[in-house]
Amino acid sequence: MQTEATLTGIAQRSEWEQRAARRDAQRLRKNALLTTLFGGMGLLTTLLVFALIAVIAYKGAPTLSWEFLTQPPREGMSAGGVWPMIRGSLLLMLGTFLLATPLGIFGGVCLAEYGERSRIMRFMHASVAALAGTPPIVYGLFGLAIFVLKFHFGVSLLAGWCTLTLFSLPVIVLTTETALKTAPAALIDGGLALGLSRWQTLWRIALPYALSGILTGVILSLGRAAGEATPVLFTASIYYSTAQLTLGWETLRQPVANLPYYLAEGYRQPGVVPDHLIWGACLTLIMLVLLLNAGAIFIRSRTRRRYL
Amino acid sequence: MIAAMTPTKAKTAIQTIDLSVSYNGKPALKAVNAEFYENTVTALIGPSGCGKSTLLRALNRMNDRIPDAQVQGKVLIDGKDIYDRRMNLTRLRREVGMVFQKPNPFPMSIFENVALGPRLHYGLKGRVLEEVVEDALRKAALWDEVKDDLKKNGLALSGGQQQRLCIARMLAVQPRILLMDEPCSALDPISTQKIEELIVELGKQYTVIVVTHNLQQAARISHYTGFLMYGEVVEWGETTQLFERPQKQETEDYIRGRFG
Amino acid sequence: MWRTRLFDNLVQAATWMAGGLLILTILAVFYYLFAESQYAFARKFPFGFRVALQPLNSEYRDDISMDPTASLLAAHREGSDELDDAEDATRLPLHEELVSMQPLVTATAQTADLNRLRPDELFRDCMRAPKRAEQGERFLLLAFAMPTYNGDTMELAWEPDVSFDPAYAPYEFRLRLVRAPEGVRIDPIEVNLNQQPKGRLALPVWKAHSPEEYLKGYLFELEARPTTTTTLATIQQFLKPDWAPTILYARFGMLPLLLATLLITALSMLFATPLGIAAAVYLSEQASPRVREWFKPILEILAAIPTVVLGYFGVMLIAPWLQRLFAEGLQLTSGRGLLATALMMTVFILPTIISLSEDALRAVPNSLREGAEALGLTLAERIRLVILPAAKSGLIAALLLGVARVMGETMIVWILSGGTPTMPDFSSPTAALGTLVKPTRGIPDTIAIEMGNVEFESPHYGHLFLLGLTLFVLTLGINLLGFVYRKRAQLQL
Repeated sequence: MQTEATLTGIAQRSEWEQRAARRDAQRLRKNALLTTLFGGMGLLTTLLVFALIAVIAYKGAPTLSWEFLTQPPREGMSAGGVWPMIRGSLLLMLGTFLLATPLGIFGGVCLAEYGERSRIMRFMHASVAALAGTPPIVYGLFGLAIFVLKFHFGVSLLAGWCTLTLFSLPVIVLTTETALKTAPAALIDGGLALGLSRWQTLWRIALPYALSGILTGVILSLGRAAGEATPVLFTASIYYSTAQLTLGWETLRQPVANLPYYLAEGYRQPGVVPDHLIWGACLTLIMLVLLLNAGAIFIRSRTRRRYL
Repeated sequence: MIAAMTPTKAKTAIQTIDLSVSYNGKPALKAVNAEFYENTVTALIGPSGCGKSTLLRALNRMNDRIPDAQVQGKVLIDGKDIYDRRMNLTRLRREVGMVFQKPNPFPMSIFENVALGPRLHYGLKGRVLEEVVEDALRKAALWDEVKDDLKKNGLALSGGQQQRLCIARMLAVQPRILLMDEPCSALDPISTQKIEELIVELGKQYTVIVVTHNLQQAARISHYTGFLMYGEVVEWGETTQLFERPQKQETEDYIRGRFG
Repeated sequence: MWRTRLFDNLVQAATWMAGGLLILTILAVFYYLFAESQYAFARKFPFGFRVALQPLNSEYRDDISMDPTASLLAAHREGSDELDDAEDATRLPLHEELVSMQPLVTATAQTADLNRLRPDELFRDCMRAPKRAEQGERFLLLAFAMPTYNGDTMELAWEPDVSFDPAYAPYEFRLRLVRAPEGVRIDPIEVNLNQQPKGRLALPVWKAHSPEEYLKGYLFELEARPTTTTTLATIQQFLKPDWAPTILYARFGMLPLLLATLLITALSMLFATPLGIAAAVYLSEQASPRVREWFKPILEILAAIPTVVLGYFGVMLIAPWLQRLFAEGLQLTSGRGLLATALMMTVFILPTIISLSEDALRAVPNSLREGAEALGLTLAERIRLVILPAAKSGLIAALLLGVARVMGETMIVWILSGGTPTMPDFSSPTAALGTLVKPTRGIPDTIAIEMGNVEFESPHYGHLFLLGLTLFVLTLGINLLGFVYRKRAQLQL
C-alpha cells in the first residue's frame, strides 16, 4: 500500500531533498544561535560569581588583617576586630556538627532502609523532603517557641545549637539517603551473599561506600547553617557583649555574637559600624563558608579517585 | 521460514576504505574495508567487543558523540566521504537512519514521534505530513495496531511496538540506508519474529545493515554477512556461503559455537 | 561474635531512635507553629469614635478630632475597664466653666447603665479596654447646650478616631438616640457607622440650666454589636490589606506582606528561570566534561555565599544604581524595593536552579539523545523538542524548589526591601513602576524585624507566628508538589 506522498519516484525524491537542503542552512543558523545563547548563559553565571567575589574581596581586603580577625570591637563597635563574632560562629557550627551529624546519618539510614515500606515512613520521607525546603525563618520561630520559651533555654548558645541542628538535619538525612542508594546493587548483593544480615550489609558495606557523599552533604549543609542569620536571629544571637570574652560552662546559657547577626544588626543600626568593617566581615564570613566548601570539594575529589 | 534471496544486480550504497576507529587511543576498529549494496540486508556478527557496533556507528558518524573517539579512513556514500569536513551531518542522518538496541521512543504521542523528523527536515505539515506518517507506520507494520490512537504516548506501547515505532520514525525521514544495532536483543521471541519479517521486507527497498549477536537471525534475514573479531574483518560474503562453507577457521569455530 | 551482634543491635536501635526523633521533630514543628499561633486568637479589637456637638458654622466641621470639646468614645487600651478616671478620663468641666467657655457639650459616663448615670460622674471622654469580638461594647453619650448658646440649631458630628478604620474592627457600630429631652419632637435616630463612618445630623436646641439637668439632655448610645466570633474575626482581619501592629488601633492585615512576597518570588523566578535553565542546558548538553568539572564547584561557591552578604552587596551597589536610574520620575529616596530585592534573589536562587535543573537534564537517558541525533536533529532541536520535554517533570520540581527557597529567604528581603508594607498597585504604568522600585515588605522579613521587639505570647507575637505558619504552609505545599514531580520524574525515566 503506497500513498501519494511515498517517495518512489526519483524526481520527487530529489525535489524533497532540495527542499530539505534549503531548510538545512536555516536550521544550522538557528542551532548556532541557540547553542551560543545557552553557552552565553553559562558564561554569564560564571562571570556573576567572579564579579561578586571580586567586588567583595576588593572592598573587604583592605580591612582584613590579623588584628581584625583576632581583636574584639572597640570604641562602640566603630573600630577594632570581629574575633568574638568569628568565635561565636565557630562555636555554633561545632555544636551543630556534633549534634546534627549522628542524628542525620542515623535518620538517613533509617529512611534508606525503610523508606518505601510503610505508610508512616512514606509520610516521613515526604516530610523530610518538605522540611529541607522550609524557610530558615520558620526554624527560627520554632526554635524561639520551643527551645527558648518552652524549655527555658533562653536566648542562648544551647538554643542556637538545637535550632541550627533542626535546620541542617533534613538536608543531611536526604544526602545520606541518596548516597546510600547510590551504592551499587552488586556490592549489597555481595554482602548478602557472604551471609551478612541486611543491617550488617548496610552498615559495613554500603555506609563506608557512601561515606564521602555523606560527609560532603554534612559539610555543605553546615556551611549553609553557618552563613544563615535567620535561625539564630532570635534564638542565640547577641550583637556584642564583653561576657563573650571568657569561655566556660555558663557560655552555654548565654547568647553568642556571630558574624551573620553582626552583619544584620550592623544594617539595622546604620552608621554605627563603618562600611569598611562591614565589608571586612562579609569577606570573613564568605571565607569561613568557602573554607568548609573547599573541604567538601577536597573530600569528593579524593574519593572519586579512589572509586573510579 | 523467511527466504532471503540474494538480489541479482548489486549496486554499492556505502563503502568503507581503511576505516579505523580508536577510543582514547585504544583501537576498536582496524582498517576495515567493506561494501554494502543497495536493496540488500547485510548482517554484522562477531563476539562482544569485536567492533561491529563501532563499525555501524561509524557509518552515520554517531561516534562523534563520544569524546576521545578518533576516526581514520573513509566512508563513502555516493562517492563522497562522510568524514569530510564539509559534510552536513543533518543531511547525512537524513540519508542514513538508525535504530538502537533498546527501543527509545520519545516521550510524546505516536504521531509526534513519527512526524518530528519529516516536519523538521522537509517542513511538511497538514495532510502531506499525515500521509507520510501513515506511510511510515505502514512500512513498519505498526499502522493497523495504532491507527485508532495516534495520540497515545509512545512510551505506553509494548517493547516490540516501541521498536517498530522507532523504525517508523526512522523511515519517515526517507533514508536510503538503514542501520540497526541489535534491534531485537531487548525483545521477546514474537516481537523478534515480527521485526525480522519487517527487516526482510525493508531489504527490498533499502540498504539495511543489521548488527546482531544471534547467528540464526543473521542467517534468516541477511543476504550478506560480515564476521568481525578484535576490530578486524575476518570474513565477509554471501550469508549462505559464510554459514555453510566458511573459509576461515575462526569463522567456523564461531558459527559452530566453539568460541565467543 | 557476640560483640558484633551487640554492635549491630545498638546501631539498629540508634537508627530507630533517629527515625523516631525525626518524626517527632516533624510533628513538633507542625504542632508548635499552630500552638503559638493561638496567641493571635487571643486578640481584642480596639475601636474609637469622636463625637462632638457643634454649631452649624463650626470651624472643626471637617476635622472633629481637632475639636477640643469632642468626646472620644474608645475601647483601645490594654487593662481593666475600671480606669482610674483621674488619670485616663477627663472630667467634664464645672458648670460655670462650661457656661462661659463651651456652649455645646457632649458628656459620657464610665457606665453603660442608664440607671447609674449620675450628674457628678460625667466625663468628656470614655476610654475602656478593648474586648473580644463576642463581647461588644456600649457607650452612653449625653448632648445638650448651655443656656448661653444663642444658635437655633446644633449638629451632632462624629468620625472615627485618628488611625481607626471601622473595617478593622469586627463590629457593627450603631449610633442611636435613646431618648430625646422632654418637649423635643424628633424622629428616631439610628445610624450605621460602618456604612457612614463620618457624618452629622441636626438636632433641635435643648438647653441644660444646671448640672442636674444634664441627664435630661439628648441621650445617645454608641453600640459595638458583635458580628462574628473572635476566631473568625482574627482570620478576617488577617486577610485585610493593612499591616500596622504597633499603632493604637492595631491592624494585622497581612495581605500587602503576602503580595510583596509573591511578587518578589514571581519576579525573581521570571529572571532566574530562563537564565538557570539555559545555563543548565549548556552544562548538561554542550559543555565538555572538563568544563563541567570546573563549573560545579563554581556553582557551589555561588550557592554558599551567605544571604546576608548578598543583601549587603545589593544595598551597597545595586540599590544606589537603581535609585539613579529611576530617581527623576519617582522621587526615590533609596533604591531599596521590590526590584532590587528580586534582582539579588535571582543571584541567590540561580545556583540552586542550575544545579537541580542540570540533575534533571542528566537524568534523561542517553538513548533519547542518540535517537534524536540519529534522526538528524540539530543540537538545538534535540534540546528543545526531545530533551527538555523529557526532563519536564524534573525541571518543574527544580523550579518549585527554587520558588520555595525564594519565598522564605529572609535576610535579602530584610536588607533590601525597604521595610514599608505597601499594597502593590498596577492601575497605571507609573503606579506599576512605583510598585516595582519603591520600598515594600514581605512576610519573612516582617517576622525577623518585629519578633525582636515584641512582647512574648502577646497577640502581636501570635500574629507573627500566624505569618510564619502562612509561610510554612505555602512552602510546604510547594515543596510537596516538587516532591511529587521529582518522584514522577524518577518513575518516568
